[in-house]
Amino acid sequence: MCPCHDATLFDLRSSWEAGYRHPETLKRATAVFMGPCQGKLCGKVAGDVIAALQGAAEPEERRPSVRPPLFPVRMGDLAYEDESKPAGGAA
Amino acid sequence: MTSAHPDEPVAFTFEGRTLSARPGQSIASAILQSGTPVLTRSFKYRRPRGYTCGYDICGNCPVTINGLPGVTSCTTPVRGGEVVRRERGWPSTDRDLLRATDLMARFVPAGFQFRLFRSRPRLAHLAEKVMGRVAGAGRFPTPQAARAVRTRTEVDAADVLVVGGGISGCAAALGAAGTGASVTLVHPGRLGGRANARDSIVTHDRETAPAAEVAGRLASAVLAHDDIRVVDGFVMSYFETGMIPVVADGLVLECRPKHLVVATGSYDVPGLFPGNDKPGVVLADGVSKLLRVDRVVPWRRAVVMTDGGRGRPLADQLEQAGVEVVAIVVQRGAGASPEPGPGPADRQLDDERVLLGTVRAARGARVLRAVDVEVDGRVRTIRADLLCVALAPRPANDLALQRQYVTAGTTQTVGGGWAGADLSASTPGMSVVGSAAGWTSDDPDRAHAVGAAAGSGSGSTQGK
Amino acid sequence: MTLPGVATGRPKAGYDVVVVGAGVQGLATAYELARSGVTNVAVLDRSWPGGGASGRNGEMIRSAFSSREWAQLFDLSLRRFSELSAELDFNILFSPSGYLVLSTTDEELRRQDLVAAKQAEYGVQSEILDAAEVRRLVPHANPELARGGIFQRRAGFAHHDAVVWGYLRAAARAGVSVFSGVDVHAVLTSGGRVTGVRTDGGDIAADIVVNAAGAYSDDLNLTADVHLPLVKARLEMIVTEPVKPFLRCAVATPHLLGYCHQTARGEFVGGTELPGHDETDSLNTTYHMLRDMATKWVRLFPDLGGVRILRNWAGTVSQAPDLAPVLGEAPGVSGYHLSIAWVYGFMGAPAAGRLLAESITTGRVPAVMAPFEARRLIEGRSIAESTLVVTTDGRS
Ligand SMILES: Cc1cc2nc3c(=O)[nH]c(=O)nc-3n(C[C@H](O)[C@H](O)[C@H](O)COP(=O)(O)OP(=O)(O)OC[C@H]3O[C@@H](n4cnc5c(N)ncnc54)[C@H](O)[C@@H]3O)c2cc1C
Ligand code: FES
Repeated sequence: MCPCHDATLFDLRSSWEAGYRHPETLKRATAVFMGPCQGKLCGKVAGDVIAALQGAAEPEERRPSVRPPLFPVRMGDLAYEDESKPAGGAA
Repeated sequence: MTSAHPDEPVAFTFEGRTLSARPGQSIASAILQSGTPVLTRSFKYRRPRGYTCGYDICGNCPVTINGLPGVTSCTTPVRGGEVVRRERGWPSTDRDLLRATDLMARFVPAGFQFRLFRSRPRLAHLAEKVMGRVAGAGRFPTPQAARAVRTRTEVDAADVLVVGGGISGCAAALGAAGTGASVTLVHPGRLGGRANARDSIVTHDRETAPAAEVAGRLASAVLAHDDIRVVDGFVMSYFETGMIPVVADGLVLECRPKHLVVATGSYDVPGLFPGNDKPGVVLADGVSKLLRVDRVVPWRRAVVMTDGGRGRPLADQLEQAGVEVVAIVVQRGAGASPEPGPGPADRQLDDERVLLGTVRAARGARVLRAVDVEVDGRVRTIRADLLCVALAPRPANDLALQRQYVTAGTTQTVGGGWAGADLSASTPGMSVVGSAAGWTSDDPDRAHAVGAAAGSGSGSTQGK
Repeated sequence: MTLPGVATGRPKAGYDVVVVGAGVQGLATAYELARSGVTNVAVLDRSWPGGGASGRNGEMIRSAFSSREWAQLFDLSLRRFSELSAELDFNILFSPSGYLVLSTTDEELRRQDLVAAKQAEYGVQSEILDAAEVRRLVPHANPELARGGIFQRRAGFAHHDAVVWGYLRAAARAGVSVFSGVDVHAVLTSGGRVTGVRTDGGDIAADIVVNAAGAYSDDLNLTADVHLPLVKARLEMIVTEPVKPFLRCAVATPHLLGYCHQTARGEFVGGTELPGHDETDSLNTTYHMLRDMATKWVRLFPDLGGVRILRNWAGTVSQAPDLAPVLGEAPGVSGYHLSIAWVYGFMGAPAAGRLLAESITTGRVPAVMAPFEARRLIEGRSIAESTLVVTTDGRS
């Protein structure tokens, strides 16, 4: 279901049965939304499954936050060479 | 950079073998072409994984290139001379003895680790360590590769930032630049995006033409425009203070535009059935890209699965490439097509390949061998090496959502966000265009108009 | 219901004890209360249990601190962590892989012998490492920064959600009712005594109220007219894709204001800070902290330059000027107990929960807990601890 973390429909359903009934807690129980794609791939399907479990058209709660970075980014790409450069850039 | 004409083939090394490719063709496509469908193994159960989405969305295709792990092979072009290897699997990615069977997976559902060894902490610790070795095995950068990842940071002063260089993004950028505003357009890889591989018909400037052709024309106009800076990279996030950093090759660009145009397109949606992660189960745009952009045809017999109007165009592309399409499964209860182009309805029943039914499973020990389709309560097993999943896509709404978090002051109070349609509306400082906004067909003229409004709204029209 | 162990239905009109906040602090306290026989307890949270800092932290656990107060409190916690999985009947994935506080500056190197000697005096075992030993322990660390350190072998990290879930389930089994989706608007008092709480669903009576509201604990205090010099602060972290095991133990570097470890799955998890605090309760992350983290972690582990960051998140805590927690009955309001101002509140929870429950049930303040009472802040005293990786105003 969520290929990033091998979360299966079975995982989602059994976690739901066990009582993880909020998208945020389901996310923490099954790791959906937490892989490299952050739900780009599994988001729609996960939403559909949660909605179905809730018996609704769309989940009642907000979807788990879309955290930065939108695409995985290498740490070296974000490291300042010169440490004296105040982190904060052009802020 | 992808060249317009196929140049001399270039060579790279893949696990000791020399593979040849057209320059610009993706690494994944070249590996597929060489007859290797398994690109990596999954994290927990070590299930074989292969090319799936084509657009750096699924995470099923990372490989190690020149000592750097986790390189998305479906979007990384072959340049020549690379040393490429796969990452997970013992003794190899093809045959992994640590692979958990589907049956075993039932006994280690999410959370199983919290039940195990609760009174044997030492054993638990050991088990964790073994798990870690298995999960991360073979993935670590070489010191040289790690130290070569460097960037310089630059401030981008453009008035308008357009994120996404598909048909809508290019048109919006041209619209904004036409008002005299300075524009930066960010897009990973070749401009045109998904449209480069599509045959749908688009109306632009009162003329109609195939999407790929319109995309090409818009891309050339963008590249020729003096006031549009094109950056091959991706937006990292929308941060507080309106900071939108862009990561490109060797460069981090700090953008704080007066106006943001979100033209991030759509994501293909996977089907929900057992085996949907098997190599050979490929999402529609990934299929088109492989056929049309990478020009690789690694399949012979295809089943196309659809819930609307995208099935037939995909079947046509496959047949043109010499792939036999044995069935087009139109999922029951499917709605109308929300996809670009008029395309004939998939439900057309004069085609005996059309089955009104449901895909029940993708079969095959390692890669796809057959598809189980249920029609009228009976399950048929259809032999195929490709299951093309052509469901209605969903808007790529992540960036727009993140902007809402910042506007709201925290992530927690922003509701919805599941379907993305709730973000289609433009708000001060941000416009959403194209399939990111849920538009059901490419409409470059409309995107151009939105871009023009963004440009003049950004307040720096110099009356060109 | 949001999690296994969370009660269905609405709270009753009254309880013996109401705990505000179902973070690790509130849940540990409720669990320990139930264990000592007080089971008519409600834990109220407006969000899901663990939705605050308890589910967003760096998971690091140690007791090798430089001050007697910190060392003794956290050593009790550390001992509890190693028995918790069996006791809660839930594997909290405690990894006693060791905890290294790096010495990077001349000053830190000079002081490390003294600090370790003090730890020995407080009964906390630690080892002094020289440059070669540190290099053997963390071979991927930049030798310019890894010049020495204090290593605590028994310490390490645990799974933060598992600790919350374990306490939650065990508390629920013991009779505690944990409610999610209940917002506490005020602590009700009368004549210097607590009488209950006001929630969005009405008033709930209780003779004992525990404030374990994390970042929002000061807001709650104000409703009870308790004034302490606390600020909200945002902390941020990153997690990378899984890589081969390269970092055995948890590492804190006071010089870089950073703390990190590698999870069992191979993900590198790290957070850093900048001098001064980021006073907000926003859970958005910031660009400048993301770059700060990347810069510092690549500097400490140059090979990480080639590893991809997958996610970046933020959490919020409340802080006292001396960065030490506030534990015990609030000055001036009897029956109103505090377990707040936690900056190291994940590692401190097993001890704090036990001590606070003990002081509530017996009416006597355990010696280990006494130094952390709120009075110190009102009287302007502070607990001096030198091995922290957080900063007070503008000072590192
Ligand atoms: C990024 C980060 C890294 C950290 N790293 C470490 C570490 O490595 N080691 C360590 O020991 N500590 C660490 N900490 C600190 C640690 O996470 C906290 O000190 C600890 O979690 C505090 O627990 P708590 O239960 O007091 O608060 P929280 O977990 O924040 O719980 C408070 C709860 O109260 C609820 N609440 C608040 N107000 C109300 C109200 N009015 N009504 C109802 N409910 C309310 C909230 O919803 C929340 O669930 C870190 C913190 C952060 C943010
Ligand atoms: S990310 Fe490469 S195929 Fe999906």
